[in-house]
Amino acid sequence: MIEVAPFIVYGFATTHDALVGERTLLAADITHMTIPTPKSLGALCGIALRVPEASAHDAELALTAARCGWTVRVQMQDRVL
Amino acid sequence: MREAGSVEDISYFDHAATSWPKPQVVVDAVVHALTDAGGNPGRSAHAIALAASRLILESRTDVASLLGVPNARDIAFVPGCTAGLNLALKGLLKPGDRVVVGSTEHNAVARPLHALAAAGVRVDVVQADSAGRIDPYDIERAVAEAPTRAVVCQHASNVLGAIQPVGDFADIAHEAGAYLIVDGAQGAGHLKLNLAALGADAYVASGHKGLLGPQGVGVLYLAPGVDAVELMQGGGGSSSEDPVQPTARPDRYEAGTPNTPGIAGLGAAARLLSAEGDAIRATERRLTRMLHEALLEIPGLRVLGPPPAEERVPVVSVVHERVDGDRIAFELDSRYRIAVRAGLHCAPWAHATAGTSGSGAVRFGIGYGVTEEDVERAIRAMREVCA
Ligand SMILES: Cc1ncc(COP(=O)(O)O)c(C=O)c1O
Repeated sequence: MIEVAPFIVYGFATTHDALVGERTLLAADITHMTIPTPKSLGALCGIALRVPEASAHDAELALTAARCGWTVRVQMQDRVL
Repeated sequence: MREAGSVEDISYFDHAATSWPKPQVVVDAVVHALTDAGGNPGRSAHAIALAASRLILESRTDVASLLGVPNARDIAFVPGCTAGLNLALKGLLKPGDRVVVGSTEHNAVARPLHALAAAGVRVDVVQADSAGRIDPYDIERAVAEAPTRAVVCQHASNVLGAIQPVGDFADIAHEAGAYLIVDGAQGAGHLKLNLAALGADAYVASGHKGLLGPQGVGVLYLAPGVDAVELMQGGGGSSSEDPVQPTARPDRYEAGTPNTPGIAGLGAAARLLSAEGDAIRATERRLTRMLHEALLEIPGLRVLGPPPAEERVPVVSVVHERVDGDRIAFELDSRYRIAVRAGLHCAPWAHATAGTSGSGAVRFGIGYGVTEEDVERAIRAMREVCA
């Protein structure tokens, strides 16, 4: 059986905010991916940040400290092919 | 020293119209944006679009830092100073409002205000002296005369070089509950700015003049909470389901695909100015004074604006009692390879203030890359042309 680890996706109102978020996670050395915003997140900018669930707490502390508020936070899993 | 891409034998004195040659870092940044980051920023999340989005973030952050703006979201990239001024004026003023405006404004302010006056905005002009200086007391008096929505003025005159005490104007405007809207086309880059401290509610600049960026991009700063209505609605890559324009900054003011190469170039220029701006400005001031003092010695020549001992932006405009300005400009160009601008400089109000509506003037605009040799060459040429 394949184990699929869940991850958290953060959606932002503007590309500016999403990329400030990306820059913040890079500077804090937090594993992340910059991804197209999943449709299910709703009306947001086109870029979202994906963080492994285990790193979500650290990511949120870093984003909050950088005053980079995410608009939506959703837990997701990759589809199993 | 001349930068790559220049036409070596031209002494370029038209920086007040647009800076040229551009610093090599600006040229390189434009080429880099076109070559390596040519996607549509904010629209997609693939590598080449993300590269463009990141360039814009970097430029916005670096421009904000140069201008003393704590939150880069308060900087919107617009197509130019004219576009930004239209947005600030039309986005903040409505029929029935009153504005108080200086008498040396460029057409980028005068014409939108003319259109707004036709739509029912009352426009009251405060007269500057013939050198272009506005006494804050006159602004205070005008503002006290009737309820005022905004004080509008340029930071510095593109014809007379006079610098307005915009910090004082901000205090006066705010005391009366009015906005201060500043046309910073000739201020940004040539004057060290801290917009958060200056107090303007809107400050608009050309990217391509003293800020040394490419043409086709300008900067609109709106202070936090200043709720200017956007002039354009359209796509921006965010909240696409929503029929209304997003209100989040900067997206609210940036509908449509931006000028990514221009913005990248402007970002590179901002970094250059953050590092070397003080030295660049000191050279500009020294050369401006050198030119100003020498031109004052030429018989029959009137130099407009404040005297050399007073601070001015690097603009020196002159009128000769016999030789027409267009003749002077033509001879400087054709005989001496010196580029200046004659005429009214899109600023008939400033010329009316200086008493030069009939003649216009010949303007020397100094800026990045102008050397002492250029100035000496201009002085020699002017002595001959005006003889
Ligand atoms: C004082 C002033 N305001 C506004 C502008 C308009 O700038 P742009 O043509 O870059 O929109 C200029 C340009 O000459 C100017 O000198």
